[in-house]
Amino acid sequence: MIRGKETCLELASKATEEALKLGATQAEVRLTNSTSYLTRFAGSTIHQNVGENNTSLTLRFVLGKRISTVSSNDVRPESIKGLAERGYKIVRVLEEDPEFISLPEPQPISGLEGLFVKETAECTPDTRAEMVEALMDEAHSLSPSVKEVAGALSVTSSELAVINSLGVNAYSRATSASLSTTTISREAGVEGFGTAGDVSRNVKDLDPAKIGREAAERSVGSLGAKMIEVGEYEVVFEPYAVSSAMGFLSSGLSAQSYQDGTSWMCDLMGEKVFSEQFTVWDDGRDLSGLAFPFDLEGIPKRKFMLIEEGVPKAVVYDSYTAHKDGEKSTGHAGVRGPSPSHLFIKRGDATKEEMIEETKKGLLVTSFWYVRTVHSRKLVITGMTRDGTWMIGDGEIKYPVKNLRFTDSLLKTFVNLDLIGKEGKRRGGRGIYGGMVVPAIKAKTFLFTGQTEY
Amino acid sequence: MEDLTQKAIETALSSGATYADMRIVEINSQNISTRNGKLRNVSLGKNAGFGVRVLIDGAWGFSSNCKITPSIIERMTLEAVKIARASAKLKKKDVRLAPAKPIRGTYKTPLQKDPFEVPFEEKIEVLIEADKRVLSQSDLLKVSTSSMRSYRENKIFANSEGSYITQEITWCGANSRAVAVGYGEYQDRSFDGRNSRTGGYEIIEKIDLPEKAEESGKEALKLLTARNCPEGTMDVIIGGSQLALQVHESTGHPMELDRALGAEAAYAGTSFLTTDKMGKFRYGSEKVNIVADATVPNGLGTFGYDDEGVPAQKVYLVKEGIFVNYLSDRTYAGELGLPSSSGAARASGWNRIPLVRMTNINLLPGTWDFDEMVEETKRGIYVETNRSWSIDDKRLNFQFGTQIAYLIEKGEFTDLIKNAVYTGITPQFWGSCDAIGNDKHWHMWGTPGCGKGQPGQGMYVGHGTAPARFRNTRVFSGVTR
Repeated sequence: MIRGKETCLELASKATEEALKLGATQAEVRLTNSTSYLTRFAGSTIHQNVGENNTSLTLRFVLGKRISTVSSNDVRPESIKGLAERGYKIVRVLEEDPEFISLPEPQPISGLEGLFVKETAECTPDTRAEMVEALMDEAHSLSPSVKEVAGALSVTSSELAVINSLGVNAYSRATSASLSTTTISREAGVEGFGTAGDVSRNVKDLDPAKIGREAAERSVGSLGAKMIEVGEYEVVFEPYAVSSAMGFLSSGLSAQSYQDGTSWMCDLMGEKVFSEQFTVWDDGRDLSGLAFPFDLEGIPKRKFMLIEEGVPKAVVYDSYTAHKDGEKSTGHAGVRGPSPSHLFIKRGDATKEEMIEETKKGLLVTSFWYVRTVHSRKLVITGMTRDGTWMIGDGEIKYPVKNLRFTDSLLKTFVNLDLIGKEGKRRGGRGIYGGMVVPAIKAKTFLFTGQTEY
Repeated sequence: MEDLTQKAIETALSSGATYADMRIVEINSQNISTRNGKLRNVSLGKNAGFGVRVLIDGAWGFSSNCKITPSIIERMTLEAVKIARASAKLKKKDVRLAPAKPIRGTYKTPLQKDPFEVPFEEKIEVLIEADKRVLSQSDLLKVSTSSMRSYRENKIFANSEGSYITQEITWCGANSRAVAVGYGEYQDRSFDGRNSRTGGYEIIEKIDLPEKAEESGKEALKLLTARNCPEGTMDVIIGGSQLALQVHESTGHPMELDRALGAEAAYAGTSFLTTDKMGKFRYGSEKVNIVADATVPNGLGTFGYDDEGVPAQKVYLVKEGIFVNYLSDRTYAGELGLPSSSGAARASGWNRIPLVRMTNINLLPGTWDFDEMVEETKRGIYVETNRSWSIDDKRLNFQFGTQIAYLIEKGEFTDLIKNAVYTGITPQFWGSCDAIGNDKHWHMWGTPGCGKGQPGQGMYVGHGTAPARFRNTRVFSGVTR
C-alpha cells in the first residue's frame, strides 16, 4: 500500500535524526515501500499466485571515515531508534576507510510524469487472471500443436525515498507491469519452444494476445529442430538476446569493476574498438525506457554517453567510486556499487527481415539462457540459446535448430557488428528503477561450441 | 504467536479454504568484507514478516506482509483467499496435497559458538590478515578481497491440519579471492562460498581463512605463467568443491519434481528427467549413488522440518546409477500420486511461497584414495574451484569453467593449467564416472544462494562430495577461442 511522499520522507528523516543524535557525522537513509503481485502460470493453468507488502529502511551511519550499513523492514519508531543504535554499535569498532570522502551533496531533481499508473497499482487478481487467460487462449488458438503455455504477469507499485544529512531529500513513486511467456508445442514426438514478453509502467499497455501469439508462432516454428555442425556463424540476435548480452557488457561499464581492474574497459578506454555503428548511453530520464528521476543515493539521472561510435568513453560512478577518481557521481548508485541502469543502444535502419536477407549462412537467435562470464577482462561469456533458434541460408530462414552453446568474447561480437535494428524493445530487469531499450542486431560472427538434444 | 497463526488459519477456513498455512519468519544476517586489507563493508540486516497460503476450490493463493499484527493478518488472509479464487478460474484440476502427519515440534541448529556474539573486531582482524597474506607475496597480486557471512532464520510454521513448528537455523561461511595481473594476463583464485555450513562460528574458525587466502594468492601468481588448457577428449578428475556445483546443477535441479512437471517452464526450465524415467532410467554409472539428505550434520541444507512442516529426510535420488526418486513437496508429490513428500518444500523468506528445493544433495563416497585415482590416470586433467557455470534449461548440456587445473600424464601431476573448461551431456557424463574418492576425501560443501522461482528466491543448500573421475570428457581453454 502506498504511504505517500510525506510519510516516506518523515520515516527516513526520523532514522537520519536518530543517527545524528548518536553522534553520526553524516547519515543516509533509503526507504523502499512496495506492493507486488505476481500471477504465474504453467501447463496452461495458474499454479502460483502471490502478493507481497514490504517496507524496508537502509541506514548508512558515518562516523568520520567509518561507515556501517544496517537495514530493517520494521519501521515502528522504537525499531528505527534500534536500527540507528545498531549502526552506531558497529561503526565504533571499525577502522577508518581512507578512500571515503563524503556522502553526496544534494543536487536539484526534476520530477518525471507518468511513472505511477493507477491502473497498474489497482490491477486485481481477477484482472490478472483474465489477462493470463487471453494470452493462453490466443496461443492455443494458433495451432493444436501448442500444448503448454507458461509465464508470469507481475504488477508492482513502489515508493523510494532517499535522505541524507547533507540535504539530499528525494522521493518518487512508480509502477511496473510485466508479462512474459514460454510456449511449448508438441507434434509427432518432437517439441518446439517460443518466448515473448513486454514491460511497461502501465499494465494496460501490455497486450496479452499479441504476446501469446508471438510466443506460439515461435514454438510452432521451432518444431522439428535439427542438429548442426558447431562453429562460427553469422547471427541475427533478437532484442531478448541483445538485452542479456548488454547486461554482461554493462558490468564492465561500472567504475567499481574499472577500479578493481576486472573490467574489459581497463584495456580499451578511449580506443577505437567496436564497429562505428555501436553507440551506447544511459538515460534515466528518457520515458521510452523505464525512466526514474534519481539513483539510490538520491542523485539525479541524466543522459550519459558510454560508448560513442565504437569508442568506450566512460564508466558510471556512485559517490564513493567518484571521490576515489576525483570525479562526480554520475547518478548510478546501486545496491552493490555503481552500475548502468537505463541503457540505450543507438538504433540503425535495418528491419529484422532485412537482417535475415543479408545473412548468407547464419543463425537467428531469440534469447539467451544461463549466461556466465568465463573471463571478465576479455568479456568471454558462455550460455545457451533458448526458445527459438533457426538456421538462415541465402537470406531465408531454412529450419529450426536445437539449442546451441556459445562460448565467445562479446567484445568480438560488437567489433563485428554488421547491422542494427530500427526498432527498440523495452526490457525490464531492475524492478521499478530501470531497464534498457535495445534493438535486434546482426553480427558477422559468433562462436558456437556445443549443442543440446532439444 | 500461536494465537496469530490460529487467526490466519481460522479466517482462511471460515472463508472456504480446505487447507491453510502460515509462516512467521525473522531473518538476521551479517556481512563483513575487506578489500586490500581495508574494511570495505559491514552490514547488518533484519527482515521479518509473515505469509499466508490458502487452498480454495482446488487452487492456491498467497499473500504476505512485513507488519505482524492481528488486523493485517486478517486482511492478508482475505487477500490470499481472493487471489486463490482468481487462480481457480483457470484451473484444469484440483491441487491434491500428499498426506503429511500433523506435527508439534521444534528444531535448532546445533552450534558451539554463536556467530552473532563474536565481536566484529575479531572477525575483521581475520579478514584483514587474509588480505595481507595475499598482497605481501608480490606486487603482481593487485586485489585481495575477503568476506564473512552469518545468517540466522527464526521461523514458525502452522497449518490447518494441526501442525505448529518453531525452528532456528544458523549458518555461516567465509571467502577470499586473490587477483593477479601481469605478463599480459589476468587470473583470479578464490577460496569460495561453497564453504558455508550450518553451525556456529566454529565453522569459520576451522577454515583458517588467512592460510587459505595465502594459498589462493600463490596459485593466482602461478596461473599468470601457466599454460593454457589443452583441447581434446580426456579423463577429468574433478575436485570436491567443483564437483559440488556439478552435482547441484546436473543432479539437484533436474530431480526437482516441480520442474519435471513443467512448473518452471517459463523461467528456471524443465527437466530431461521426465516422470516416465523414474525408477528405470540409467542416470550414471553403477558407482554413482546420490541422496537428498536434510539430516546430515552441518549441511547447508540441514533443518528439522521443511516449510510445509514435513520432517527432514534422507532419500535416495540415484541408486547404483539408476534415477529412483525426485525431490518433492506436498503439491507435486500429490500430483504425481507419490505416497508422501520428500520434505523438500523450502521458502527463502516470509514473503515467498515454498518451492521444491534441494536440501543436501550428496554424492556418496566411493572406495578410491585420491593419489591412486591420479596414479591410475594415463592422460587427463584435474580441475578445481568454479569460475563459470552454465547449463541448458532441461539440464542436459553443461559447461563449467574452473580456476585452476593440472595436467595428468602417466599417473602424475605435471603442468599447471589455466582457463580449463569442461563440457558434456548430463547422463553420458555421469555414466562415465568410474572412480569416486573415499570417506577420507568426502566433504560437505554449500551453495548459499541457489536461485529459482518468480518472484526470485535464493536458497541455501548443501552438497557432499569427494573428488571423482570422469572418462573421455571434452575439455578446452575458455579464453583462446
